[in-house]
Amino acid sequence: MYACKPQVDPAILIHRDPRAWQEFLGWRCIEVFLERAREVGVRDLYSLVDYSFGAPSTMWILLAGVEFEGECAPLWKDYVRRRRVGMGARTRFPRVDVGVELDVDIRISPAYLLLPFHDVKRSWQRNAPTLLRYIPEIPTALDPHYYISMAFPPQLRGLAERGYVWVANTKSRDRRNHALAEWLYWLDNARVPHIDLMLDRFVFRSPLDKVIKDAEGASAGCRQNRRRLDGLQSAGA
Amino acid sequence: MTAEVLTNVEAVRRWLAGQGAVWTERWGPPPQGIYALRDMHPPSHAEDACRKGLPLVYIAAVDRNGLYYIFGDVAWTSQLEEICRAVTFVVEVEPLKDGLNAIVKFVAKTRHLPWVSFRPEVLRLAGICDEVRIECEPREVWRKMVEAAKSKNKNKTEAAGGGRKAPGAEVAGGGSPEGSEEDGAKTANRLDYVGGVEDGGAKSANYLDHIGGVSGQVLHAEVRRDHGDGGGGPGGGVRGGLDPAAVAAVLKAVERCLGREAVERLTACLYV
Repeated sequence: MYACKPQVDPAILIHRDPRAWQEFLGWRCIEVFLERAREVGVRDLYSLVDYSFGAPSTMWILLAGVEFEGECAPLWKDYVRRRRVGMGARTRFPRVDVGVELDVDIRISPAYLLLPFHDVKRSWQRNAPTLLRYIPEIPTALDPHYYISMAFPPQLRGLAERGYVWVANTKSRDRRNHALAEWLYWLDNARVPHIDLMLDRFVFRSPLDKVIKDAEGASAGCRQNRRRLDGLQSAGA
Repeated sequence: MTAEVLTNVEAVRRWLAGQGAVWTERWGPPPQGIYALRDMHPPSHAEDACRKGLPLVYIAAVDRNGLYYIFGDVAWTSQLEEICRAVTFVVEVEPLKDGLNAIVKFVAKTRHLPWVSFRPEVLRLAGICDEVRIECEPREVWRKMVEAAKSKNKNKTEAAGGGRKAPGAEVAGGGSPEGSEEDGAKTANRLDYVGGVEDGGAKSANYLDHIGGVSGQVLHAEVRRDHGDGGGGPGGGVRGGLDPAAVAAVLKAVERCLGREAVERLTACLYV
């Protein structure tokens, strides 16, 4: 069996862009993924991307037994074998002082949809109570993008007009709202921002967003994400 | 959960034989795998059956990659080893979707389990969500559907009683006339924004009223059509024209025996 050598973290599974899959997973991975997913009616790359996007929390089951190699392999093994995904935001938004505080408590990034909601419900309750107030049960196995788009409070969606960088730099309880900015980007574009940044396809919502292009290391690589995950574990989170 | 349900080995054998499945039967607990039921019974529930010498039955569906999907009422623990016997039917499922689909339906039928008892991931892989999407939708969507259906029914009853509403009054809020008054300002602006951006609080209605996936949209369309027709018609009220008092009594009994969730599901089914 061929090993899959992904160049990106598992968040690509909720990134609805087949070109990004080709770019960062390569055909070897895609073939391995397809072989598994054919069992549930997936036919080609496009339907694979759709299936994964529509049922992210089933992917650890479908990918069970796949061999991973390379720099990003530890993140994939953590996900598929141990069902662990880092909670925090992946995108390193540049620091800008916007001087705004929001009464929002969302510290979980959309990539957490890869885990079955019922297995990590307490994490959602602790780290995204604002989101759960509007949709108490996150349908991680059934079109989460559709249902969360419907339930996400319009006041928060409206903040994206100021730009994702602006949202990321607002504060809630002395933390910057990176995760909220990722949610808004994902809801608007059905893609995750850090992968769009890696492909230079970040969608700007305001002139302020353009500073993200100049930010050093704006796209977080696998090593960095891995360090964050390790940090969370050592903190007992 | 009764002893009969837990231990009906012969029923499983007959069903597997009838399905033409490739399976093996072995005495012993199930292998490591993914439990298909969302909330398993605690081991104490199995003790009565075990003391009578009846075995716990597990179906372990195995896919071509060697992953097991375990169907059983009680998660096997070392605590059970001393008092219980277990029999495991290992069934090869290929393709995964069809195989799982058949087993999920069999288990749901024989154990009298609603779909919500299963892990959403297993339902999705088994294609159940494609067949009955409404069963996989978030409960919040269900709640809104039931509310919308109740409101619709209430308005119909009022209309039948002689009161005539202005067209569109119901459509605007998606809820009861009383409920629509508190709509935007009270329910939507729960999030307190401090910072001075135009937040559009006044214009933001209760967004969840429009949730409903495919089913929600259909429901919404039906409401509109009924208004266009001037009310009435075969689509309204309890399905089959059941006596509302009888329905209320049944729902009360269902709530007592099966819980609130079952009531919501039954109500949605009856009214939608």
